[in-house]
Amino acid sequence: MFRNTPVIINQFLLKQLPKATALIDRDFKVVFASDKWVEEFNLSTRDILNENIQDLLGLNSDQWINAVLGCFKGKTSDSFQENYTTIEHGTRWFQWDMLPWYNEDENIIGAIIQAEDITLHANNEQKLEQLQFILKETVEIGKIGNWEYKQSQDIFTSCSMINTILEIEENSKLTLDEYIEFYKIGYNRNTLSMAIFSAMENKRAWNEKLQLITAKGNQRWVNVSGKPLYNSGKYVGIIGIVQDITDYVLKEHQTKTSEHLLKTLINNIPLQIYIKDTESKKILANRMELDHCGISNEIDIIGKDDFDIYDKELAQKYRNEDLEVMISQTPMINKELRHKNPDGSSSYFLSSKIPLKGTNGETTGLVGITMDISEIKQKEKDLKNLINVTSLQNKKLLNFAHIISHNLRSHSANFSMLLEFLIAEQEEAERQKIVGMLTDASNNLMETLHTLNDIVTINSESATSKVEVDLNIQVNKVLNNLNSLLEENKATVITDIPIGTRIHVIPSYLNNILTQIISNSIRYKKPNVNPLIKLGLSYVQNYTVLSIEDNGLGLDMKKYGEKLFGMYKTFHDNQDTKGLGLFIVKNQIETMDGKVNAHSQVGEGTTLNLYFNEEN
Amino acid sequence: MRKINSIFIVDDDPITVYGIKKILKSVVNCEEVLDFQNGKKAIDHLQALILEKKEFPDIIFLDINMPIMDGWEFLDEFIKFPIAKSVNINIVSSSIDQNDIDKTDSYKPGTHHRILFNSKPIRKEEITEITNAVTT
Repeated sequence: MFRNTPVIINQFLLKQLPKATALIDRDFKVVFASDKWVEEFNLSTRDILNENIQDLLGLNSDQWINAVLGCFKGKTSDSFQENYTTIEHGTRWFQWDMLPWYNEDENIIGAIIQAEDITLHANNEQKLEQLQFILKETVEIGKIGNWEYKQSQDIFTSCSMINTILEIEENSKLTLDEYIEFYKIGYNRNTLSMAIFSAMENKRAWNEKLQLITAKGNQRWVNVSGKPLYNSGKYVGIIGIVQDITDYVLKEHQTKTSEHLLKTLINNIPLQIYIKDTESKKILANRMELDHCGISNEIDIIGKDDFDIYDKELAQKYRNEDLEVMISQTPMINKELRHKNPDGSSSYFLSSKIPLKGTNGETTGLVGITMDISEIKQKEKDLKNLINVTSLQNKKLLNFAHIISHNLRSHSANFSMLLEFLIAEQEEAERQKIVGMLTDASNNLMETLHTLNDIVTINSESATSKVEVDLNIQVNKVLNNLNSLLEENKATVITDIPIGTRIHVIPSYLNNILTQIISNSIRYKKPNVNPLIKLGLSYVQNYTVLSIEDNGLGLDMKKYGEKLFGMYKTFHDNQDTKGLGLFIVKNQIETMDGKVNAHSQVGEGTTLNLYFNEEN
Repeated sequence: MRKINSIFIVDDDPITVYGIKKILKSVVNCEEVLDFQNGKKAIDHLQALILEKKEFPDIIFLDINMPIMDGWEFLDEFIKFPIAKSVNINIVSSSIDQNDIDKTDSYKPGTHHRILFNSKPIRKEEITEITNAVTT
């Protein structure tokens, strides 16, 4: 359009062109530039004529230079866009248009260059592109579809994601009713129908989680939302969004099921389970653990440590264990613990602590598992007791058998020897003597057999035939029977048994035991000291203990302690004793589930403690 | 008949004491046969012998089950006596328990006295053998 126009004449016109325009000669030197050009490229402060345009603008892209060179050869370049960066304006986009510049003689003398700032346009385009990309990706990743219903034309349109969700052909079209029918009959379809109706009538938006059945018969969970559409304030239809959340719902379902299972398991397992953080504060505790700590609600234990629950010493012990486990990252397995209960009894536990590790291997806390083994412990104890009792009985039996065989053998040996003598003996007087001895031996044997029979009878008696008796009455009965013996020996008996004390015994045994012990005290009195016998009462665990103390000869317990209650054991030079009294006492009290022990010192006296079992 | 100076019988059973004495009388000529009802009495007598610098017996017949001090306790005390003479100690027990025989053997390495285990009833042949073993 400038082709036939003299340069100078049109200068004023050119200057006012609305588009940034510059004319350059074939040396790229600026011949003329419009005001808009100067303004656009911020060149008002400079003298631009005869300056190289590339230097002025700092342009050197190949596309730009080639376009200019093309103009010099008479080619009009297609307009192109290129970004252009300056310190003042940052990056801007320009659309370049270039034409050859002819003089009157139709010779190309340069080029006409026009630039238009399209930064805003370019940015918008870019933004739109971005938005479209984001939308596309969101729809695909989030499985989100949208539909629109135009009320006036009764047209339902939907994006392809809706078709994907419903599993129908990509290009098939639906009506609003057909769309609604994909929802499961009943609650789901009713809810959606009501929501759409409500949007039409009451202009209300909705958001629901519903189930639909696809064309292929698959069940899907979807999040549906919608709102009425307006055009210039006038209602025109509805827009709806559908998101397939099947995977999410199923996962959530699975998680919930697992969580429920885990919770049920943890709360019903007969173990105490807790989780502690690195500060040893509890962040989880199951039912058993709560019961153990005497706390009814889990919330009340969260954030608490052992110092809030146990005494300081115990808590510190547990804290040290926690630290050891967490620092070493080595589990502590089945450590046996003993808890003292307020009622004095003990509970036993097996405690395990397992360190919890984070994703980077750092300790994040620990899981504690505690098992109450008190019952097992008690059974173990019972069993041990039973074994003790049995082995004791066994020992007793063996001892007894030993004694019997020994006794019978010694008698038979005597018989055999005396009979041999009798056969060989000629002298009548000697024969008479041997026959006398044989008679004695026979009597001794009979007596031994009677004694053994008595002992067998005691041991076969059962503790169940015990009856409750008043101890004072029983003691007085025995003292009355022994009255003459006591008086003869000028003995004093002091009984210090609380009135009304009752114990469970086999009365005849108690009678024999008391008689035996008190007569022993008289029998083994010091020659020139009047006997003093004291009876006292105390309680030890399940036993009522009757102590009988005398001021008699006493006994070297180191030497004779083990044999004191043995059979045929005598310790004093006394022809009347047979070594059976205390042996029978021991058997009788043991038959009543009790026990007996003695303390004695030579020259000081003897104390016998009778333990009457009041448990059974 | 062989002659022996002194024999002790430590036993609380009068029939056994009678029997041993009776057999001894028929097999050996012994100046002194003493009996003790328990170990303590025998030990007391032996202690007195030491003080009086008198000779120990050549043979001791020893029962195990006795009151106050039994045969084992007697042996414990006896082997402690500082005497050069080897005494022939014959345990005479109605026991046939292997434990008692083993216990007898356990004393042997610790003493220069001869210790022998015999079961009751003790017979004439055994006593003859015992007395023959004594070299006077």
